[in-house]
Amino acid sequence: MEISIHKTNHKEKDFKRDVMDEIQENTQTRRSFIQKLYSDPVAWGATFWIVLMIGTAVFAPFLTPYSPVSGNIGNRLMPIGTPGHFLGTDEQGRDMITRILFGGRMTLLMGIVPVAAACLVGGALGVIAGYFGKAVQSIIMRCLDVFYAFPALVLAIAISAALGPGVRNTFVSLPIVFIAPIARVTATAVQQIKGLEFFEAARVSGASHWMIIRFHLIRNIFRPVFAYVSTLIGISILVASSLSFLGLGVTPPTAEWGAMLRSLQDALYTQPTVAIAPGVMIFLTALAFNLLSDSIQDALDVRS
Amino acid sequence: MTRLFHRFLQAIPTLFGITLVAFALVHIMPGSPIDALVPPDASADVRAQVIHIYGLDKPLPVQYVLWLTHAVRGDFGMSIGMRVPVNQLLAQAIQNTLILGVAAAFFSFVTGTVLGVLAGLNQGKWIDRMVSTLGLAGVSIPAYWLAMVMVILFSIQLGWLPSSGMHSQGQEGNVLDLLAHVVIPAIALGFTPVGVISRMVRTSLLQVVKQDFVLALRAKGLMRRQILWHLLRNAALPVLTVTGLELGYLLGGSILVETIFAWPGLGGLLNSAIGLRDIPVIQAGILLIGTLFVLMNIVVDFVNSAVDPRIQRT
Repeated sequence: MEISIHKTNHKEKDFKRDVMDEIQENTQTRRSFIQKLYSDPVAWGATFWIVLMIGTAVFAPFLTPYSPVSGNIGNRLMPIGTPGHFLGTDEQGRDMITRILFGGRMTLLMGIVPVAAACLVGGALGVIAGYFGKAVQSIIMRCLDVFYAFPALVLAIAISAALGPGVRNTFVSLPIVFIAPIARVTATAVQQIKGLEFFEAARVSGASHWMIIRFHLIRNIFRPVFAYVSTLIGISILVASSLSFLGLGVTPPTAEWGAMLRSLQDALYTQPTVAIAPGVMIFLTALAFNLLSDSIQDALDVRS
Repeated sequence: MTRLFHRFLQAIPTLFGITLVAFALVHIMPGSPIDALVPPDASADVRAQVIHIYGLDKPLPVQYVLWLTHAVRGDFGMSIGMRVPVNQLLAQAIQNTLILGVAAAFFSFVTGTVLGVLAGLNQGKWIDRMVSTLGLAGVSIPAYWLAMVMVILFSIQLGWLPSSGMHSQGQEGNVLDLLAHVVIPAIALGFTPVGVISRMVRTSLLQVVKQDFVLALRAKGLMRRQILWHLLRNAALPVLTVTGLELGYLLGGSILVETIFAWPGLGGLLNSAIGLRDIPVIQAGILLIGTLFVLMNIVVDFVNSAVDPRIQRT
């Protein structure tokens, strides 16, 4: 008797140890994502730039004495290094640094908000398509195929042209561009999870669809979807600034880097250096988000 | 061959969807093409007459069916702004866009492959890091800004290359003149794909190097140069796919670059048509770009399965 009790105890301990090991292993991989990012100097650099951009965007009014929309026409097109206007002035005599600080607000918003919005809609569509079987999936995916028929920039331009220029319409057209690819990635991720045993187990145990989606699905598709979505922010920044450059996004006099390049285009022959700063800012900010996304993909081990 | 046919059949609903999108987008647009034609002080009678001539007074479904039945036969109507058949405008524009697109694709494919091979053969060394940095810079740089900077540098400051247009005055048909005009736009447009392609070449090359046949070739005593040829042939497939997909990017990016350089292509045409609310031109342009993109994807698919028969099974 004693021996058998001892044995079961031993088995139970074994079992417990196994479970504990597994939990520990799990937390280890989870922590290691943060740790990997933490020990990645490139991720630090990119994060530093993004935080700096967010900071200057939020506190822009306190960082400069000038107005972003009205300037002194007598001081138009001053070169870089002019006292009082370190980066010079634009074609209406507005201070370039001020315009760039305020322009960063629009650029950051147009990088993050459309991707977040598309993530909600596209993610939901992807989960529905992947979870509820073939018929639902083919209906949703065939409809989204139409959006795949256009290069991203063409689609963004076409929708923006249809809705008319303006920031509000950019916030409509950009998410539409990203919904289809996010839905596809999500649906693929869901299908991969669906074949796994624990998923079947949850179903057999009688969990409702909502429960399964909430507790078993979303947590498990988070990694691949998040890794993919992180690549879109840099693209969103570039597409948004392109729209403004074409006159389909932000309308003057609002400061935005792409719109600044548009209005400075005619001044290139008189003062070529003014075009440098807004472009460098778009480049560095898109680069920072792309580098961070690269680091996130490395840390998540989901290199595509 | 049946596979190709099957793919075309699959594309038909998508093409139908594209026509719906092209039609719907144009009709949500604020403003009317009539405003560009009729002076603001014209009487309501004249306005109604013009609207009737262009068939804009019919119900939307009727307009759609009319447009679709004509479009299937290749008739896209007359441009409202320019009074020329849309076909004629598009044919000229697509030709010019193709010149720019082919030049850009050539630039990005050659540069991307060379850089990718250099990076792959020198894995982990400084040249590898340089190439990957350049690749990331490529996907982060706004093409239109790169174009502006190159114009400032090479046209305004140094005066080496022309800054806009496709031909100098009176030089139409001169190939050298055309080449001089295409250099800056093609590089500005092709810079982003360089990064993507070089990355793909590198990854693909590194995967092939690990395979057994490379060891066999080495054991056989082939020279490095000869082995490289085998490596490249085996690494080519994913690179072809990526290049094909990047053609779509070039199509989109050309709208921006053509606007900057006043290049008389599809992008420039669409951009000015959007400004004028020239409905027939915009519809046909969107339809054309969508159809081209879908066909291009099918061709890429087909070339893939032709180069590597293993793909057909999956």
